[in-house]
Amino acid sequence: MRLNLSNIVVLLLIFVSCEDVIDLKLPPMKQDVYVVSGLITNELDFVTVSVTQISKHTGVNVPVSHAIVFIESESMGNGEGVMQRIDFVEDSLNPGMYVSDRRVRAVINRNYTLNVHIDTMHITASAYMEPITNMLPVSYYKVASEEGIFALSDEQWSEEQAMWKFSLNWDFNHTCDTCKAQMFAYSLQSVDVAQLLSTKKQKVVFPLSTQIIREKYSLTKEHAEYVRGLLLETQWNGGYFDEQPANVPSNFSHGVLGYWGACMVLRDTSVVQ
Amino acid sequence: MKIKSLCIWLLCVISVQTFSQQAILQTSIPISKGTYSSVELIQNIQRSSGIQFSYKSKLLLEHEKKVSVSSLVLQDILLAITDGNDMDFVVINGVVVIKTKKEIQKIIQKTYNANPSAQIEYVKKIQEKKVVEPEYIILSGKIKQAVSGELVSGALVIIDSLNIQIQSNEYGFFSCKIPQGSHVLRVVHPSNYMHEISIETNKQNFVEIETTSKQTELTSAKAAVQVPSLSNKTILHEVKLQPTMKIPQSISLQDPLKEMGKVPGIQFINDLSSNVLVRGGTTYQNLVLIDDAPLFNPTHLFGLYSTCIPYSVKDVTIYKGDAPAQFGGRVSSVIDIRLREANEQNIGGYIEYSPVVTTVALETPIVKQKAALVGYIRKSNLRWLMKDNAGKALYSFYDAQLKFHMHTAKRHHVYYSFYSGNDVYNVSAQKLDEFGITWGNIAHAVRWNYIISPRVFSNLTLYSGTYNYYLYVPHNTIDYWNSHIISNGIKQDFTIFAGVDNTVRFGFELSGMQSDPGNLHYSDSSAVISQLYTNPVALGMAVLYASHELKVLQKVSLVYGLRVPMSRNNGPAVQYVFEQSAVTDTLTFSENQTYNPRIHIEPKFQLQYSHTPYVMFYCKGMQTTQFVHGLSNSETNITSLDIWMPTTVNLHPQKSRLYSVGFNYTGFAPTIMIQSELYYKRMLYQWYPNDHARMLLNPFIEGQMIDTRVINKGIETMIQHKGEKLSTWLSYTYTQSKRLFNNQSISTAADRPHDISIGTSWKLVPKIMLEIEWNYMSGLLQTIPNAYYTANGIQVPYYESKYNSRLPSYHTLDVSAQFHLYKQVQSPWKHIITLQIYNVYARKNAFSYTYNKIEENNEYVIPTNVSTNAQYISTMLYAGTVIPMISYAIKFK
Repeated sequence: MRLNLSNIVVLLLIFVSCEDVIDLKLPPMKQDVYVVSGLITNELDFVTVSVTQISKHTGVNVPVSHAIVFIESESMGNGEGVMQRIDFVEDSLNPGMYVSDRRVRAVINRNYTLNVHIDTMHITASAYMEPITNMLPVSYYKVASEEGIFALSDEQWSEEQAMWKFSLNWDFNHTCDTCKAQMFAYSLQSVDVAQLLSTKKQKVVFPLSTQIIREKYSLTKEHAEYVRGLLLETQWNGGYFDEQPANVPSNFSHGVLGYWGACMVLRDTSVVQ
Repeated sequence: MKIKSLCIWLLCVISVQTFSQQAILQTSIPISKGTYSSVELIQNIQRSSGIQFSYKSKLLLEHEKKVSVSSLVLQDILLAITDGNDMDFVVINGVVVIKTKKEIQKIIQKTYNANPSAQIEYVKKIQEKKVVEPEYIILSGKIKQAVSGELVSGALVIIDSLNIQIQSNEYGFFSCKIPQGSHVLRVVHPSNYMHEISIETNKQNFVEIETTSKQTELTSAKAAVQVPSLSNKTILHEVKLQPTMKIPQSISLQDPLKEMGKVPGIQFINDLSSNVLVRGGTTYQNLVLIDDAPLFNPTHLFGLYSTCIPYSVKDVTIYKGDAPAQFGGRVSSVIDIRLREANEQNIGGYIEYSPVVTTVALETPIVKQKAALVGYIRKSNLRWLMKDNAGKALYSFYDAQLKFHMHTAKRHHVYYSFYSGNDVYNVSAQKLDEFGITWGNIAHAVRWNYIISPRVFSNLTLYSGTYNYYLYVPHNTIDYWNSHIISNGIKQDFTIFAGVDNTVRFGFELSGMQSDPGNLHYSDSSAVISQLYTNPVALGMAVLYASHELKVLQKVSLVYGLRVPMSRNNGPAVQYVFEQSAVTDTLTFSENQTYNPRIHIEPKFQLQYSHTPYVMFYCKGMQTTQFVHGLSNSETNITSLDIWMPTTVNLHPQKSRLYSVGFNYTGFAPTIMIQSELYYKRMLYQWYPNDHARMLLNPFIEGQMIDTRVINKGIETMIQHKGEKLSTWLSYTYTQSKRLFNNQSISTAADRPHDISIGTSWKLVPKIMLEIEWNYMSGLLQTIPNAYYTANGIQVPYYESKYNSRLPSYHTLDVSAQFHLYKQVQSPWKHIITLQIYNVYARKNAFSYTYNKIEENNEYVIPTNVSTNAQYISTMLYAGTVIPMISYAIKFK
């Protein structure tokens, strides 16, 4: 009977905690899938590329060793920081993690192609770096219910598409367990229903005098599309208004998951006053 | 031989020849006068008099008819039963034998030959008179409620003496050809009460029949037309057999759209949605008409609450892809909602309160028995449940309806209907840098009924439907985002009642549609980002249609028709041409320029074979085209963030081809109805979103859609038993729905193989009614991860295929009781209390899984701090468990 059932369902939705933990059995896979990810920035540093494989037998993401990894740049040059071909070596302590054999830095509007050879498979992905504008002061607010406690604003304003990384440290305060947090935020030029009506997120709060290291990463159109897909499947998922699930887009060949990006980075440090 | 001849001669020349001393045929039978079916009558005679009968049930069923008993003498009754058909009767040795005329003659001869002293009673009917062709006239009329003056659609007009059954159309009009003279008309109301009038056709050929009913006072929302109710079992089998499934009628105030879930082939997506999926279609493929005006989103609360105010609804008819030629434009279904007309006689009102909504209705005659007006307001009461930071209601919605009607003389009837509904979410908080949403429908319809002649009925409709959706986004310069669609049209419909079983319907429709798929509107015009401008689309349409319903043989009826929609887009417009979602060309059209002309042919046929008066077999085939598309990539279908777009250069009109076969059986007392239908439906140009398609703020939204085909098949069965106090139904649907594209075949959201509904209504005493219903559905298909990997410190799902899992089966048991707290039906004030318990055994029916949350402070939240190793958990979302509900309504007149 659907006797004014709508009335009832409204009440259900509001009053009842309509979520239970379950033991979700994942369907078996038919084939192995590789996952590669890495990021090159305008900062002179070692570049790290992760190569893993999701096993069809176990469904577990395991490191892939003995791959041949290198970056090629379309524009060649001489001197430190201008790349020709940069080779990577596997980190002996972290299988599946490949580190560039020297410090490198990317320059804007140039293509960087990541090549990964696994057995006979040759995986490639290209990325280029766009410039980024300066940052406005970091935005955080006082949590109304607690004295001296703050939280970062959900939205970080930027005229262009950007990724934000926040590293928070309040280890001067010995009352907490970890005293550290790392969070990502994004400025995208798209609007999604699942974003607007997303479900409740973990709230990270921090005390006065917390140090905030903020990094702003430039995003190309393709990189922003990847980030949007990533958010749709993670941070914007799990509510009543989810969009149809699909794999996060990738810029790798051969159906390999992950993303190879090139970002310009700006960084600032502030202390919560 | 001589003796034989003598016998026959005797039988022929004597009008009434009695061979027995005790004439059984002259026995007076102790039954009450009235109208019976012939089979029922013979059973009653046997039961009440003890007289023995010999007959074949099959013969009786073949010649089944209504018999009006005015004389209780057996001979008169039997003469009435056998009058006008091939049956005859004779009494041999005290046993009444009913057989065909030929067989009776043979039996008499045989009996007489074998034993000349046998006791034989036989009545020779004088029927070989010269037949004088009677003079025929066209009888037409209207059926209306005596109390309110409201016209009654779907009522049966029965003339037993002529074996005629006709049905009133949606405006209560009927017409038939009958011989001149005196006739008794029986009118069976859809709510199953009967009215009888005598007419003298020499004096009148247009009748206004006023029916009275207690039922209408009790049940305000009738979710289906032509559905017999519990009150009068003798009428039940007079319901005209039609090849459509009916919604089992419930006892109390219902949401008519929710009620449709009882009909096999119609599924709700989950508890949170009033939207329905019909035979594997999507919610955007249902045309919802409210007094002929289109509603693009018939729900509130993100799809959770229907826009139908139950008290305002007169009836709802749903066509599951097999709509007649006068309807079209959606490939899944047409849901035709007719609103109540105001009482022409008295002022009346209705107030209902529940913790969620308050409804107020007021009706008044403007000119008594000529014109009247009714208005309804329904408003949500959610402030006490959901408040924003400013203390204002976080969510609210309302519906406002108005209906005016007026008739002049007998030939003209004018209606004006208005509907407005709106939802508001978080708008007051928008200034506090949060987003807000509003959406709403506005619909108008003006209709003019004109009875051109007793045989020709005309209806002219002017309609308008607008759907607007606003999204207020907190931003430095952006004011709001708006998407809308406007549809206006004029429709002229003619019906020619050429004969009792011969009706022609034809007409045309001209309409225009304009859609803005979504644009930002700025307070500062210099801030316009032209790159994000989405071009509006306009479509003009002309439709011609015709259908013909006729009886081709004694037992075979045929309905065939054709609908020819023609469309073209109108400029100014900019159209992008896509290949693999990338723009390859841009077409610009100036004002007054038309482009993309299309013409489609939609043939329709329906063949019915009435094996007996109780059993009918049928087959149908029809094609339908849809010119407006609902673009969505929602997973849960509980969002109302709809984007409607007419056909464009890229979006070809959707097509559907439906073929079905079925049968209906309607038993006689106690009444059992069994209906079953097997269907196959092929749908082309089913626009399906790409992975992570961008639906909002995307000028290239058409490029996000891919062309797919959908194949649906299934079997739908419904069994209903209707008693005077107890009514029961069982419906079962098996559905299979597959989407085909890029050499892939994936199931659709509607692929839920088993759908069962069992329910019973019990009228405990006249003013207390109980109802219990159990619903079962296979679980909704879900796409869940096959594995996970990590990116930016968070767990990311990997899917090897779509719809790779199914949620647990859905089932609930719901009960309700309704109490009518007044002494007499005629009381001016009536109080009704309804108690309901939803999901009695507290089943947790999941509608979605999540797998990206952590548990923190006894809450399930999305992790944001990636510096720690998050312990991810999987959860299921469900719409709660057992919950009671009470509502109180008061009605006055």
